[in-house]
Amino acid sequence: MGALVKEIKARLSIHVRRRSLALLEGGYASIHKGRSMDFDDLREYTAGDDVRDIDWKATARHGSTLIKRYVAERHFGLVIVLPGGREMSATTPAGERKVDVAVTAAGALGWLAVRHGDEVSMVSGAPGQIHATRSRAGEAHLESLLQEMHARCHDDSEPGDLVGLLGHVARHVTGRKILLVIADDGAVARDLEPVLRELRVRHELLWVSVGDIDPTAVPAGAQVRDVTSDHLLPALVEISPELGRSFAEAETARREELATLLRRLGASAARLESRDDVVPALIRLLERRRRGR
Amino acid sequence: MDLRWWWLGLALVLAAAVTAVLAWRRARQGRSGEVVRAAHTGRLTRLAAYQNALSRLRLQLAALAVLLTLVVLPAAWAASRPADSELSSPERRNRDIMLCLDVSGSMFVTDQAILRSFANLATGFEGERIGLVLFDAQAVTAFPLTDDYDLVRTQLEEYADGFATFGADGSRDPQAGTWNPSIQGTSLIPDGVASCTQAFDHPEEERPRAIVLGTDNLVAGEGVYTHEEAFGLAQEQGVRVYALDPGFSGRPHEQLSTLTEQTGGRTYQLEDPEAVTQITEEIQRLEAARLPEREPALLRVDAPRWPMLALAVALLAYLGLAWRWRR
Repeated sequence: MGALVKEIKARLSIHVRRRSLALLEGGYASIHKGRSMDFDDLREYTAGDDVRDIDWKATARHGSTLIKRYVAERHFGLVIVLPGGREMSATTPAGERKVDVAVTAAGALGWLAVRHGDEVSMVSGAPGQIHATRSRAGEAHLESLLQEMHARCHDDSEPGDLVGLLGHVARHVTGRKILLVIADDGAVARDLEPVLRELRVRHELLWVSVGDIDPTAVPAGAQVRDVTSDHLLPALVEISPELGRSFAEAETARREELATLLRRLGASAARLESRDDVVPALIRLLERRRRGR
Repeated sequence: MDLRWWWLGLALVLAAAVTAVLAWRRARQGRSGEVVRAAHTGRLTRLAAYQNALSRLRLQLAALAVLLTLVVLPAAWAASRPADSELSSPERRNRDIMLCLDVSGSMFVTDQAILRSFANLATGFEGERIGLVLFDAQAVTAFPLTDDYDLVRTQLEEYADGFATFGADGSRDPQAGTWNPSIQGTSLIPDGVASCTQAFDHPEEERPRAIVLGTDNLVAGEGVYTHEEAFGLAQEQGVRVYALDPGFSGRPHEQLSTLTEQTGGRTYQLEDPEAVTQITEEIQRLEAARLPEREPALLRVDAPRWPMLALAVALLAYLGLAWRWRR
C-alpha cells in the first residue's frame, strides 16, 4: 500500500527544492483567500510567496523576511468528484491512460490537503451507483481513495455521468468544501451550467479536465476504438482530411464555452494532457486563483 | 441453355459468400494493428462533416460490394460452363447410300433423273456417304462411298450429262466398262446388286446401308448370281434395296417388289421421271425412320460469351472505381 501516494510524492519531490512546491502549498492554502482574514501566524518567506503578504514590521524586528499566513478556515475538506467510468480508461492526447493522469492530479492536490491537515473524501460513480467515501485525513486514506479511483475507471466500468454526479453532490454534500471535479472532454458547458450554478453557491470549485485524444489525430495506421460503444471508428480522416479541421473547430468552441462558463462561475480550471502536465498546470491553477483569477 | 458444371458455379458462389462472411467477421473483430482507445468520440461522430463523409464512404462501399457481386455471379455463371444444348442424332447422318444404276438402254431417262435428284440431295448431306456403281453386263464403280460432296455432286452431274452425250466431247460415258464381250448377257441385275452390296466397306460397322437401284429388272442372259442369291446377300448384310422401276407392271416388276421388300426396302414404279425427286426424298425419310434405335444424343456447345462479357465489364468497373476511391 501507499504505492500511488509514494509515486505522487516522488513526482512532487522534484519540485521540493524549487519554488514550485511552495507555490503549490501556498496556492493550496490560499484557496479560501479572501473569504475570511483570520490572522494565523508568521513564517519564513520562501520564493513564490506573494510580496503583498510580507509582514514588514515583523521582518524588521526579526531580521529575516517573514510573511503573514492567512487562512480562511483552519481545516477544510477536499472532495474529489470523479465521474469515472470506462471513458476514464481511454487515452489522453499524450497516449497515457486518462485515469493515470486523473489519479496524479487528484493525488497531488490530495497530498497537499493531507499535508495541510485537511480531510479528503471522494464521490464517484454514475447515478444509481454513486459511492461517497468517508472524509478523513492521512496518507493511507488518500492512498485508498486513489486506489478506488483506479477501480472506478476500468475498461468495463459503467459509463460516467458528470452532470448526474454533480447533481448528487449538490444535493448531498453539506458544508463548505473544495470540490475537485475530475472531468474530461465530454463536458459540455450548456449541460453543466445549472448544476454548477447551484454548486458554486456553497463550495469552492476546482476543475480539472483530463484531455481526450483527438480521434482525428491518431498515429498513422492506428485505429480508434470508442470505449463507450466498444466499436471501431471507420478511418474516415484518411479519406476526408477536412474532418480534422472541422473537429478542431468544434472542439475549440466547446472548450471556449466551458472555460467561459467556469470563469464566470469563479471556478479554477486546468486542462491536463499528460501526467507531466499535472504539477505545472496545478501551480498555474492555484496561482491564478490566488491572484484573484 | 444449361449448366454443365453447375456444382463448380455453386461452389464458387458459396466460397465467395463464405469469404465475405469471414472477412466481415474479421473486420468487425478489428484488424490486427494498433488500436487507440478513445472516449467521447461523439464529439467527432456528431459533426455534419463526419456524417457526410460516413455516408459517402458507405455509398462507395455499397457500390463496390454490388460490383463485386456482379463480378462473382458472372464468374460463377461462366465457371458452370453454360452450354447451348440441342438434341441431335448423329446416327442419322451415319449412313451409306449406294446408287446402283442399270445403264442399259431402256434406263437412260430414269438414271439421269436419279442422278440429278441425288446431285441435288447431296448439297444437303452431312455425314452421309454416297457412292455410285454403274452396271450392265458387269459393274463399274464410278466412285466409291465418299462424303466429299463436291466430288459427289460434280460426278453425279457429269454422269447425268453423260447420258446425253456418251463420252462425246470428252464427257463421261456412263456405259464405259459396263460391257464385257466375254460375258453372255446384258442387264445382269443380280450381278449388279451383288457388286453394289460388296462395294460397301467396313462391314463390321453398324451403319445403315441402302442401295438405290435403278432398273427395269429385264435381265438378258445368265450372270454369276441369281436374283435370290443377290438380294439374299444384301439382306444378309443388312442392306436395304430401294428399286426405281420405270417398267410397267408385270412379272419382272412383281419379282423386284418381292425381292426389295425382303431386304426391307421397296420398289417404286416410275411412270414419270420427274417423280424421282419425290421418291428419293421418300427413300431418305424411310432410311431416316429406320435409324434412331439408339438414344438421341444431347449436343452441347459452350456459350460463355455473355457471362464472360458481364464479368469483364463488372471487373473493369470495379477496378476503376476501387482505384479512383483508393485511399
